[in-house]
Amino acid sequence: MYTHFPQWSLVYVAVVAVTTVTASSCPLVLQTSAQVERRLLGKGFHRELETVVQVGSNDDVSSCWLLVKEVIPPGAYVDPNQLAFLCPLGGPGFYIPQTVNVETPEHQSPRVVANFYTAANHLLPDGRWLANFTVPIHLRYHRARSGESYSLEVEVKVPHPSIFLLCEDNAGGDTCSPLTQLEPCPPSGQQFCEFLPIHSFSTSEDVSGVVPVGNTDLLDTVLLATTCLTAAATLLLLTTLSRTPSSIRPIY
Amino acid sequence: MGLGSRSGSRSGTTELIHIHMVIGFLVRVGLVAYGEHHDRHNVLKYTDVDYHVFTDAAREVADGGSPFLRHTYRYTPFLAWMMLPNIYIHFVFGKLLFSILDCLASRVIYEILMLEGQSKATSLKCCFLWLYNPLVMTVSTRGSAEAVMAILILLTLYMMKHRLSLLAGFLLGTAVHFKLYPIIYCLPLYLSLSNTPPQDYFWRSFLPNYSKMRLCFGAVVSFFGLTGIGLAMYGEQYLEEAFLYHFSRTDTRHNFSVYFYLLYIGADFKIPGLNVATFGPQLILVLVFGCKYSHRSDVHFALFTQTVVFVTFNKVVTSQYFMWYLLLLPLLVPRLVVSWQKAIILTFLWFGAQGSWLLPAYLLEFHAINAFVPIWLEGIAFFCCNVGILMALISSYSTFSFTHHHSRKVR
Repeated sequence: MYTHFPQWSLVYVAVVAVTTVTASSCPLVLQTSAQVERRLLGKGFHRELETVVQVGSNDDVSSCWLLVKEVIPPGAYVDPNQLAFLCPLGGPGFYIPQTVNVETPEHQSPRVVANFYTAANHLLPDGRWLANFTVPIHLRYHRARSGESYSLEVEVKVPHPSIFLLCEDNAGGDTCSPLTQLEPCPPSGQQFCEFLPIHSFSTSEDVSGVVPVGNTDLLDTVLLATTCLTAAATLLLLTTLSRTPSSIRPIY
Repeated sequence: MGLGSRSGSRSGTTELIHIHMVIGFLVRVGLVAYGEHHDRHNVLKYTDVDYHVFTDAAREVADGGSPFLRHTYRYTPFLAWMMLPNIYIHFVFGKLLFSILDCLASRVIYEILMLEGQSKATSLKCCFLWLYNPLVMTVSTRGSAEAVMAILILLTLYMMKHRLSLLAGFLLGTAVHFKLYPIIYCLPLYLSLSNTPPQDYFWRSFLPNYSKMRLCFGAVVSFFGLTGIGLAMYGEQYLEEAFLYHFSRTDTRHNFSVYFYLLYIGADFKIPGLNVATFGPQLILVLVFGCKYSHRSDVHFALFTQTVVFVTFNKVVTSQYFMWYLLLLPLLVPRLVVSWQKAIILTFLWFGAQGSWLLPAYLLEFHAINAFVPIWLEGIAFFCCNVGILMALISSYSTFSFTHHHSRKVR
């Protein structure tokens, strides 16, 4: 059976191969991996995204910054102002390089890139380092659609994040330098720092939330009922007014 | 002419209103403290989202920037300045300020009613409708800035009562600068300053006189003065966020408006004449009510009915908008000829219609249950309820001509 093999797949394989070859010379990257587990807590439009990262490494990474880089799809958003409010109350440091419009519906919104900074400084019995944090995440209103042709629920999937490490200067030695990636520095992204990308994996699927949407099949009914009602109410009020004495003709 | 400069015979009641203002403030302080405790332990917060917006905007100002750097800050920059103590002193400062303004508003209600010749006891009871109103207390202590509007509108009416039209105009212009909606009050307030309302030629009441010109001058100076200062300081972004946004706003998320579901599911369709169908009734009714009750003795009722139809027929309605007309209700109560039973039924009807709307809205927002149609139906029920209550109030209201005629007969 003939299978189409797209060109971008070749590019992807080449990039992975180069990265693997380079990574093989960087012990910190080679010997470190992160297991990421996620849960979307609550129901409805306002949820909490819990992220648990377990870092396995031969090195002590407890003093390193862990960067959890999220790409939030257009169907959801994190509110930078809310995160800033929660920061002094124990929330993670973060950097969001764009203005997040918290009012627009999904089809008028871009995806949101969000960097969360935390530390994996809790040692687990199995020798791995644990980091976990929870941030509020909100689902956006979605475009109404035909209930006959589509489901009146939309699933919003939040993909797994990329994980990076920022340790002391020149951690891992010069062999790791080619692998580093410039990302805004913790805790709030004022400058750029050289982070090392860490291989990450998960035992679970991407987390997702369900958003109900309106039914455009009802448009004619809703239009007719609403406009007739408001017109009738207007006439009713004007009639009531016409039957009451007016204050513009006072008796002096 | 100050609020407290009354003769000795009133001292007892004056002291009583002071005591109630203190009690009202203490209740609000308790609610603010509860709100702080609640927010620390619950996912669903007591503090209004807007309060965080004001505080964030104040933080931007404190850092030397523009309050409009805070996304969704769509208010006068002076509100952010007022909230600076939230940054420098304590987060709850703004809530306490709004609580104080709430209590002062109840005092102004009391004074206006006394100026209208109501008895001390009646004036006191009527001002309780604002001072001890649970909705008012909740809105202020959650951090909504409606109390600022309340005090500005009430002081405008207080100055009108004293025929200080320049000051009234100044306060009205300030109110419109803070929030656009009081612009609908310009018509009845202007008409109410007519010297000799013509019986046959209504259009003559539009002709200017000295008082009307002073009102207009005060309003224009304060509105354009404050807006000009804001524009000079923060540029076009101020105009875009604080004014132009409100004209182009198309918020399709669920709210109390009867138009909510239509605007949501019709957002991607070009429906000819929809703007006229939605805006037309609101405009007609606001103008008609503004003219109908424009005599100076009925102008409070004009403002009240205008606000009710403006909010009820608006394309976006949130619970804070209800404060806009609840503020004026205590000024009308002495003029309403209505039984206690009817008043209680209407009150329960209004709260009940709101409460039953909240259930499907809660299920949609916090449980992702597809409750759009129930929300729409509840929105219709609430709309009908508001229209019905307004009709009942119109029928119960004794206009100037009625009361005056009636009193002459009695004499």
